[in-house]
Amino acid sequence: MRAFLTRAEKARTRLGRLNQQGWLYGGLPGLQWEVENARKADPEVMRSIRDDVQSHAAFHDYYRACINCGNCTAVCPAFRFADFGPRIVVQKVMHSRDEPELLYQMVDQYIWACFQCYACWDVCPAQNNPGGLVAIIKEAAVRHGLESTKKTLEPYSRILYKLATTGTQITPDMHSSVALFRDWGPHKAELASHLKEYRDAVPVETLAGVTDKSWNVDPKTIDELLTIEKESGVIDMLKSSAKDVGDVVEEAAAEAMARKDDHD
Amino acid sequence: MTEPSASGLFDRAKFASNARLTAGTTEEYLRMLERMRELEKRGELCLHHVKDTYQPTTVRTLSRREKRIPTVDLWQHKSCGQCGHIPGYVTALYWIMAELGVPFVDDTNQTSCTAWNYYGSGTSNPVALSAVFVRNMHVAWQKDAYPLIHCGTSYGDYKEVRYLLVMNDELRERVRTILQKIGRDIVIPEELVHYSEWLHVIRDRLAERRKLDLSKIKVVVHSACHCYKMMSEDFTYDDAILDGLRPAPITSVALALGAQIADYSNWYDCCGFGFRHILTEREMSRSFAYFRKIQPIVRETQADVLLTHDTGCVTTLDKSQVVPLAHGYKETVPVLSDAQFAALAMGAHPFIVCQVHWHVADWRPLLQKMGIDAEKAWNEYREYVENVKRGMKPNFIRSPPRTHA
Repeated sequence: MRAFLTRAEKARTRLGRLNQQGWLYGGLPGLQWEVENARKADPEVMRSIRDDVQSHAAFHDYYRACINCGNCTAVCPAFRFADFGPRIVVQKVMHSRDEPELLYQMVDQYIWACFQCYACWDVCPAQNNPGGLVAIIKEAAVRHGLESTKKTLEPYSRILYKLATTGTQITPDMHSSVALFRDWGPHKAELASHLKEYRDAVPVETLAGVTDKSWNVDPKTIDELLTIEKESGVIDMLKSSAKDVGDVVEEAAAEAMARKDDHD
Repeated sequence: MTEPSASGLFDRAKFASNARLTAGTTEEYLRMLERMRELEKRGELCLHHVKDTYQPTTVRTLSRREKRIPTVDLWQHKSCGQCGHIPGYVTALYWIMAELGVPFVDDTNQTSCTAWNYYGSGTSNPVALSAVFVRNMHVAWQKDAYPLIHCGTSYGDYKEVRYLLVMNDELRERVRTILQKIGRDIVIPEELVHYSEWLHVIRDRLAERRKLDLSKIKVVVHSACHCYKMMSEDFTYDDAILDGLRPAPITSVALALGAQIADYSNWYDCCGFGFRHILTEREMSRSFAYFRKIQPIVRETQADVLLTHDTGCVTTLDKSQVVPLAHGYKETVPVLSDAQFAALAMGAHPFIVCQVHWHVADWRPLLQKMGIDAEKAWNEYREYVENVKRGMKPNFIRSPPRTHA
């Protein structure tokens, strides 16, 4: 055996240490572990997610044909701070018609990096909407109850519950000293300690004294929202990916509909 | 000859792309508006028109279409993030309306648009988003008040779902079936109007009531992505403001109030909010907001205040300054909404009305430069809070009598 390797052999050895199939798969880079996951995934689930995305009401408004110019990636905030590119999203969606695994390669983590700012849509000369495509892929991931989606939504459960049952998402009681946003610093602690008195003194009647909702929402309004969530399939989506929240909201919706029946 | 700057070249490239290359999108948008009127004629939906009784003012949009902005009898489509975390946003807006004698309706029969959650978590769908939109719009129509949308994301989401409702018959019928179960039907506003477009059209009236000298105040502006990047054709531009190349609201109000406007290189970047990131991956939002927005803004402009017109932008740009400052970074700038800034200029109380104490980045130097005695005002606020604690009713800001209830 020779004591040294040629430059070409060294390069081949180094490349051999990489997951070459993942790196080169379809010519479209992404997160390599997601590419590996897609190789192990159930082909039926991959096809189902692909079909779900391509039959979405907004799909043909969001996807035209990618000319690979990269304008979208150039203005993308997630591209600057994460391993994400909207051009890749559109390219993978484009080729997923024949290769559904390309779309599946993005569902575990890739799509969740998107900031949903829609700068990509604003600058696309072909009128694609990569941010919109990400939103409908997220929808499909939630509907299919993927394990990775459940993990992604875990820290979100309080917010999902709050929105579904009050009609408002961000509320003053999130300023409590043990809840979200601790990185807002001493100011947050100061606000938390005076929350009730500050809130009581807000000079708008619909806001004053309300801490568990963003504003005072009529109970009948909340019932209408719960009916919409039930009838539009939102509660089923919640049950797929955030089961505890889905179960609680379903009970609330059933009570709302019973109240309506009594009223009628 | 001077070399064009990088940001100048970008401006030109963006203008060119909006003018020519995205013509298809603009045409489709205009076609949607035509179809909306056809559907109204066929009785398939009810359009909430910007009637003359709403005393509208006409602006031009990016597509150069004329858009009528109602100025009175406004149904306040509140923002969950503003009302929950930045109450001065809505109190300042109502205070301005009361000062100008603009009647409005502040309804408890309103839900949030639910779109922040949708963009963040994917746990909704177009049928639900459309039904929520139309439910709220139906309430406004019943009250004969024109919806004024406070949140940039609600405004962007409503533009998207209005497009789907008009262009997709199947979706429209599914939404109609759901609405019938709650005793409502499809009502769509003829124009979707963001509150900052309203502030833009009444800016001269704001300026007439200005009490503070703002000529030494240097303002930088961040426009919200969901206002002008989602369905970009429909947001307000004005040839007299920034040569008509960037959105007119906020900048036009600051200029009308006599402040200076400063420009910065990363103006097109988002704030870093990210919908999901601001809630569950905050390091990402914080780093983006500080290193792509706050730091370059302060280094390039030494601005006194950063103004914006959306829930997420105020939150992210303001709250993301805490951790970097704790790590020894020096750049900081107060963040306010255009409504709060205008109300302060018109003499509103900084704490009772503008609720500035809910903001993190140090606003004291700004108040001082505006000629406001922050310490005195804070003592007045504390006294007011103590009185409320003892049972006094807050000084509620109420709508003037409506012109046609």
